[in-house]
Amino acid sequence: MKHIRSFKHGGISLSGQTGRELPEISNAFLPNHALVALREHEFEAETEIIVHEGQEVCEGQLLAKALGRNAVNVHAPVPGIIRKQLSVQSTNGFVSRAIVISLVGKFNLAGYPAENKFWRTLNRNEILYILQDRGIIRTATGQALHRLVADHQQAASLLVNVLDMEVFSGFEASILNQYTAEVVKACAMLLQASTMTEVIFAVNAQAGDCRRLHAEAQANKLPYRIEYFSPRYPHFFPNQVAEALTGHKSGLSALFVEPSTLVATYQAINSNIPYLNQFVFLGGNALKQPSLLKVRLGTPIGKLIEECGGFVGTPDTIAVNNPLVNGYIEDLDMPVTKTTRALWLLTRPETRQSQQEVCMRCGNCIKACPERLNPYFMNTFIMAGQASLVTAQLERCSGCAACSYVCSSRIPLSVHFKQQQKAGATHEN
Amino acid sequence: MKTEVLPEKVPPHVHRSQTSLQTIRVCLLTLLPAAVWSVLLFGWPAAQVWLISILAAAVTEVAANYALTRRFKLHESAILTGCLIALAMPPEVPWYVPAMATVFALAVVKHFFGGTGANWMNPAMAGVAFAFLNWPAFMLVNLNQLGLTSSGFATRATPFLQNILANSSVVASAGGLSVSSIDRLVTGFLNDGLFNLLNAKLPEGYIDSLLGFNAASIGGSGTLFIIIGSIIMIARRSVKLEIPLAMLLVYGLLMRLIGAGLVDVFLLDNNILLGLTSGGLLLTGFYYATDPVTSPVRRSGMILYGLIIGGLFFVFARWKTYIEGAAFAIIIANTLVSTIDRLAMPSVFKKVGNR
Repeated sequence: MKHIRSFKHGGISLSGQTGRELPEISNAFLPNHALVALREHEFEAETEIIVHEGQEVCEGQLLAKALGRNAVNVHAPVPGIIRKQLSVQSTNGFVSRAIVISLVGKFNLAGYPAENKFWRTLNRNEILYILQDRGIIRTATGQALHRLVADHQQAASLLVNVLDMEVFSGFEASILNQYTAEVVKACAMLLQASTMTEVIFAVNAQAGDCRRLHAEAQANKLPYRIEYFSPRYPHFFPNQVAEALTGHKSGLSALFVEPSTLVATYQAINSNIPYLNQFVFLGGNALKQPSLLKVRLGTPIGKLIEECGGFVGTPDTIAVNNPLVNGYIEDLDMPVTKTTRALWLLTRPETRQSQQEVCMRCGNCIKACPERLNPYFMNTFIMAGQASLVTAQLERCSGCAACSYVCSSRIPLSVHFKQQQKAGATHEN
Repeated sequence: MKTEVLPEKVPPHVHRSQTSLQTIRVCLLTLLPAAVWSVLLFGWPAAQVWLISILAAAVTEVAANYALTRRFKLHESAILTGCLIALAMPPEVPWYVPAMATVFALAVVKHFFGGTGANWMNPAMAGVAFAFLNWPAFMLVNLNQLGLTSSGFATRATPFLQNILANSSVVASAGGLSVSSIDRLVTGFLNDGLFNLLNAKLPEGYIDSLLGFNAASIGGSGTLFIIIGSIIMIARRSVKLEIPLAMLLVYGLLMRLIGAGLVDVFLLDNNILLGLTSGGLLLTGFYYATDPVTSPVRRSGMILYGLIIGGLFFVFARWKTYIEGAAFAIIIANTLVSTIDRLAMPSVFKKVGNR
């Protein structure tokens, strides 16, 4: 009998919309022109470009070197010729420089058997160096993984967040299912690079059995435990995971990673392959065939949609990653980056977009807030220009947007809170 | 067809199904059967009250919106306010009573205090109280005079109702309460089929009360339809359920403990069920008290609010200040809402609230 965990207060049930079947992973076609973004995170330092226009690059060749604190190296996802440099607007709202590569020439990594290094002999600094050099980031946030591991030296455990981004589909569970051995070994690598002593797999209680994971982890002598969570949004947010596991929001000192990050980590350390492939889930009712694709970085999003059979209806919104929190795209030429993990082609009945009304004080937002905040009051103060009175509450807001989801007047509460958080941060600086 | 202006696209890109407009529309629809039933029972006077209230609500809302924002806009919540006022009126009031009550409710109480979503007092209840205080003679129709055998009832009943009650030997049962033959039939059927098996017996009089044959106001006549409407609203989760539950709980308890009832001692002697089925108590609980704008936002606050309304409602009903004590109970509770909200605030907010 498994013990199913959940956080205490608030949360919303997306059960009507959550697809539970695990998609199979298939390889996407290669892009003719790859658009490689050079920055994944808003606070990341710019990378220094070391190639020039017209230069021929091979697969996995270094394009831009990391210089700043949080930066990681950028590699060529496909062999080809550098066409030009330009600026692109990322889906998270910041501008990044990018390089266009036209596909020419021979692949020197794909299609060959991967090399196997004796990674168990590597020490901590070597592993961290490989992570930085091969451009590994945490796919959920875009932060450099080597930096995260270095910053979490005090952490007691490594939490593999299989729940992550599980808003409509458990595609991380799918990745874990298909790459169990790689994920388990990558966990062992990260344990080797830090003082963490335990791996916690946070999985959905309804997601089926974990026998392969058990077998694989025991074979690798991994100190692990599997915790089952009930799928009540935002169950995968760090605060809620900590509350579900320990009863306190600050009770867990752990480094959160996702199976997709771990697969890239394994390939970097074991086979010396830089971060070139991205797992992207495409779903939504406007799409013919929902699928989980293994995509080369820089592939235009329109091409992925074609690969899934194209549109079957008019999409109201194409949302990126978590449709409750993240942005949307208008341009189908936008490339897949290291943080593009899911695309939702949502039709009108799915988005239920509607005109914004005045607040009717229905109190739904208060019932939904997992942080025990009062979004109604916070919004009232912000709208009255008195945001400084609710600074303490704004700091506690994790931005899960459960309040905006349930708001019957369609007030974008979470957007207001995020703007205030940003305004407050710049004010302090 | 006018094109809908969509808001700027911001996350979340998915939403829960209900919007506040849908909630108001469903609420209006659930009142439709009650309206039809009241017209069948009371005839043209009831229809007149409905029409005048709704018309006055629409005109006032549009006029107030134009005066304040220079835009012609009709919000459905105004229609709902008009309907709720109509429900509280006795059918035989002159036309200007519901009209003035609605104008006062929407123009003064709602729009002068900030418009939809911002007013602190329940507009419908304020309108009803306004009518009570200005035209008490019309509003104070005593249930006593409207017993099924009384002359007051005979002048009021429509041919439809006369037909229903034709050949009904209206009999005086225990306590002098007169019941119709329909009541006897249904009660007898329930007793034979269901309550016998449980060794219980349903007294007569409830069915009359539920169908509103002896109702004082339009809303009191449709208790059965109000119950059905409430169930629909609860199923849609568009009602603050804590408020009516707390209210009915405290009302039932007080009824049992202190005894006597809604209108007259002999009628509802210590009888919770009869109290619940008559006098618009359910209407008050599920339609008047749950107005989201003027009720607390937190769950604990909602419970406290419900308890206050239930207690006040009982006090007003028991000691017969007014028959419809609901309006005053709710208005008094409305004045406490900001305090209740502050009391029910989580500790992180206390600092803000006490400023």
